[in-house]
Amino acid sequence: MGVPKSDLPQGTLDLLILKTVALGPVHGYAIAQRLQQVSRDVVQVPGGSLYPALHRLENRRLLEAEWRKTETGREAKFYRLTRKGRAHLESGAASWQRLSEAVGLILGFVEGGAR
Amino acid sequence: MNWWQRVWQRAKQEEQLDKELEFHIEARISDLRDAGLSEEDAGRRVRQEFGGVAQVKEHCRDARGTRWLEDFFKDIRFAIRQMRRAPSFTAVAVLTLALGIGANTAIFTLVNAVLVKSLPVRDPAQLLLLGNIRTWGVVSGQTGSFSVFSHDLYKHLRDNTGVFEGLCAFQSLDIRVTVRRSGTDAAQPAGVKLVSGNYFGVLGVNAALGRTITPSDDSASAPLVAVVSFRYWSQRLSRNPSVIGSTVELGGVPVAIVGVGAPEFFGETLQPDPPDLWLPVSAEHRLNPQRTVIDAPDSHWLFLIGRLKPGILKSQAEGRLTTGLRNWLSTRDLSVESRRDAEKSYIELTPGGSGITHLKRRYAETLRLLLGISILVLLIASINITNLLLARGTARSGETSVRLALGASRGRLIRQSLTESLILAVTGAGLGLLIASAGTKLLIALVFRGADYVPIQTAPDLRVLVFTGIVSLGVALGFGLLPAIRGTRNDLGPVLKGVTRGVRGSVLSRRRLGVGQALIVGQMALSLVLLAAAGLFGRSLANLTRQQFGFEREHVLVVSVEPGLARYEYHQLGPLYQRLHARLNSLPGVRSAAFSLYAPFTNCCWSSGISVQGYTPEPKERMYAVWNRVSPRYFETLGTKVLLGRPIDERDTATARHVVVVTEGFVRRYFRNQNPIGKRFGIGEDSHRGDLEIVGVVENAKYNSPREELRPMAFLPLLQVRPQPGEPLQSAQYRSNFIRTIEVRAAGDPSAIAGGVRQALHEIDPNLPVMRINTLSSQLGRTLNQESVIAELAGFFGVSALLLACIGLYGLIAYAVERRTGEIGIRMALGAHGRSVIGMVIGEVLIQGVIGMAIGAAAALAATRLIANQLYEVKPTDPATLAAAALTLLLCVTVAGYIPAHRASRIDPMRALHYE
Repeated sequence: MGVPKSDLPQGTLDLLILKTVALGPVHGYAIAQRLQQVSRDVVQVPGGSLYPALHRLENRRLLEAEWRKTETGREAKFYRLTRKGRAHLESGAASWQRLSEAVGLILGFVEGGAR
Repeated sequence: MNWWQRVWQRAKQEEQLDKELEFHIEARISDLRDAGLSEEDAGRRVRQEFGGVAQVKEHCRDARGTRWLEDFFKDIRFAIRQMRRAPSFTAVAVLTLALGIGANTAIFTLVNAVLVKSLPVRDPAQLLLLGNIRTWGVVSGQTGSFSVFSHDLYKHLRDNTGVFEGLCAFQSLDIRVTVRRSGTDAAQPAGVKLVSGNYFGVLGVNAALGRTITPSDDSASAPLVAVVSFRYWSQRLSRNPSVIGSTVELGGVPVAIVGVGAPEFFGETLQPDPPDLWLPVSAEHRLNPQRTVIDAPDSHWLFLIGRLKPGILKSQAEGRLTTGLRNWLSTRDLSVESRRDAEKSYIELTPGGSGITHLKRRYAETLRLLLGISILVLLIASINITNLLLARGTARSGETSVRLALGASRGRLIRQSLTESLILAVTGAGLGLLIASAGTKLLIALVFRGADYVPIQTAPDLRVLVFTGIVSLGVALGFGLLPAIRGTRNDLGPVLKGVTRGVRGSVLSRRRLGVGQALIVGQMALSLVLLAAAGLFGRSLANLTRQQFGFEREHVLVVSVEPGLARYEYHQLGPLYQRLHARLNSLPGVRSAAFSLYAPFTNCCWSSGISVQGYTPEPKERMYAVWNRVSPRYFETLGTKVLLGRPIDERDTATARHVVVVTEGFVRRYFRNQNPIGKRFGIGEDSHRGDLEIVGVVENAKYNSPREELRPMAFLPLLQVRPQPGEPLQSAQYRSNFIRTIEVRAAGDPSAIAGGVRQALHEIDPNLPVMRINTLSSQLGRTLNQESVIAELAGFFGVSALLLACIGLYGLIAYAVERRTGEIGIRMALGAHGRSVIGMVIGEVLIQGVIGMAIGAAAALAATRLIANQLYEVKPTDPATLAAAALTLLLCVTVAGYIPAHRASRIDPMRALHYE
């Protein structure tokens, strides 16, 4: 069963998108596909959430976009991480990790401790 | 992309959005097809996954972050469409606003120029004036706070206090001279200001051409030089650059022109007809040898302005200046009493960035008043527009309801409605600015009537534009907010059912019109306040004009002359006056002619202490009289009645016994109703109390201002002076015998004999400078100009307010009648007469009128108290004025209501009933 976007914690979608785009220039459809694959179908982002999020990130200059040809020869809008976007991703990922470890600790899933 | 690029390239953005989403959908379909789904199933699956494309697009547009601006542009386009659809509404609203905003902008331009702006000099905020500038002219015996300074004292303060980077001096009063260019015959009057050599340097004003006056010009041995104003150069010297180095004659004295002042520089004083020429102070005794004061250390006549050295505090400077002043005073030869005063003398520093601000003091109250009145009128105009918008909102309620039902948010609709208001206001303001620049010119011409030129720019500067911007925004919000909120109220039911009009009792009492009604009542109240104020100013002006002045103002010509400038010596005056008297009195068309030191309302008069035989002053009582020197036939010429004894006449020659004529007020004060003829008094201390014998008493007269309190006044014959050993012929005693005005009473129109008088004067002495020829009544009119302007403008705005309020009322009633067509039709079908329909409508109108008037009367009583000190012999609560204002209002209200009422009575019942 997929997790609808509204069930993702606040800001998580942005982080997932940034992470996906960080691997190289990619268009919206590919982002959706990749998120679904990597999460083993857990995360399914409908277009209605994905595109506004992409445009918002572009507005905040975390992403930049250009029109390019795909392998099939069609024009598509490819997104790429900006320097600001990479910084945002790193700090976001780090704090996400701290939070998830902490939550895991409290719920008793993981042995050990948070730094 | 920048935000503005994003807005700008909206179309491109939309296209790209479409393309991007399309790509997504197609890619997904093709993937699904590859996975084995049929074309049809794939399509359905994608639609399911993706959601509504239109909605997704909306969210994407929101994500752009420029949505508000895009909406704003959309709203503007919508508003313009709406405005085009109702051209008459738009025209009325925009014009009303343009006039209202234009009037406010014009008045604010004047407020800005007179009350706010600094001088066009370098760093005006640094400038400091010495003293509070409450006295001017030539002053002796100054005590307390010094604000005018003798040349000697100026040099002492400049050189010995060490607090100023630069301290310059200039004459506290301009002088008028005649200017004759070499090679031309006609001498033209011009204004001259004497300034110290460092004046231009300290102010930081450059020459547009040639050079400015420098310290080396300001010495008794230097050749005489002058700088002409840019305006004088443009108007009189036709911008001819070769005037630099040329010579002009000022009252017969040759002076070289060395430069033209900067274009925007009008001197340190904002005033009508600013100086045309600047000359160094050292030129004073050469220009004015008879009345020279430059070498008299105790005659104070200069204002001082300067810039402090960096690091010196104002309080430090004041301390050192005061010490310098007292040191200087201690070197003077003073009486015991004056010495005691010298100990208390001091110098304070006041802000000098606006220069000398007589104009500000004089007009501040008037200008603020006018601004207040014009803002009230704008308020009334805005209320009209509010009512129009409310009415239109009602008419549009169907459309609005549908939009609300289709999911438009209320905030969005309010925003749209406010955008419309804004567009109206901005259009109005744009037009208003055009009106304002013409209005400013008109205002200047009104306020400074009689002036050739006033150095005020009529083009709006940044401050004026900001003011106009704020006013129009305020107005847009003011008239737009209520209709916007009311118009978008969500009461869909009746509207969607089509019940938009019908029989509902009195429509006037319905809620939506209830607000309109309240606004109309407010308008009535405001109009009444303005009408009452206008009435009070009108009555006050009438009282001022029609009062007893103590002279007959009609048929009298007043000629300003300056024999002092024509190099007359004191001993030549006797023969000159004899010739003048004989020649002027024999002119055809002349009833009688006289001359004097002062005429009424020409910077009259000098005052001095007196001692009176047989009168013991109360402790601390100020014994003084106001003086004039007059020729024979003076009282006859002016039409001042002689109440007792005789006037000054041909017997009172220089060698005859010294006589004086006093006013009724003088007698009442110093002789307590005894017969004063033959009684004696004198100028100055007790030893002089027997100097002058009273030979006549004349009626009281006003010489300075139409509002002045009567002062004890005395008239001396010319050339009767008390010689004092060692007194120079330039002393005040002697100076007062140089006449300044000639008065001529004509048999008919006084201006008709002006040419003859001028000709006669030219024959007596072609060098006698004639400065101005005026009729006494026009001189009086000029003195009363400020009062006239207030009365005129208050009247104009009062009538505008009344008109606006009536138009508003008319609109509202006409609209109500239209909405009640059905009801009135039924009434008439049931037998109501046209007259009773009229009565019903008028009745409702009058109720509003009366409520408005009651509120207005209360407001007027409160508001007119604010103008009490500007009124003359009329109480701010004058019941007659208030009643007249109320009656006018009631009359206009009735007329405004009658027209729609009459129309209502003509309703054809059959048509009315089909109307539903």
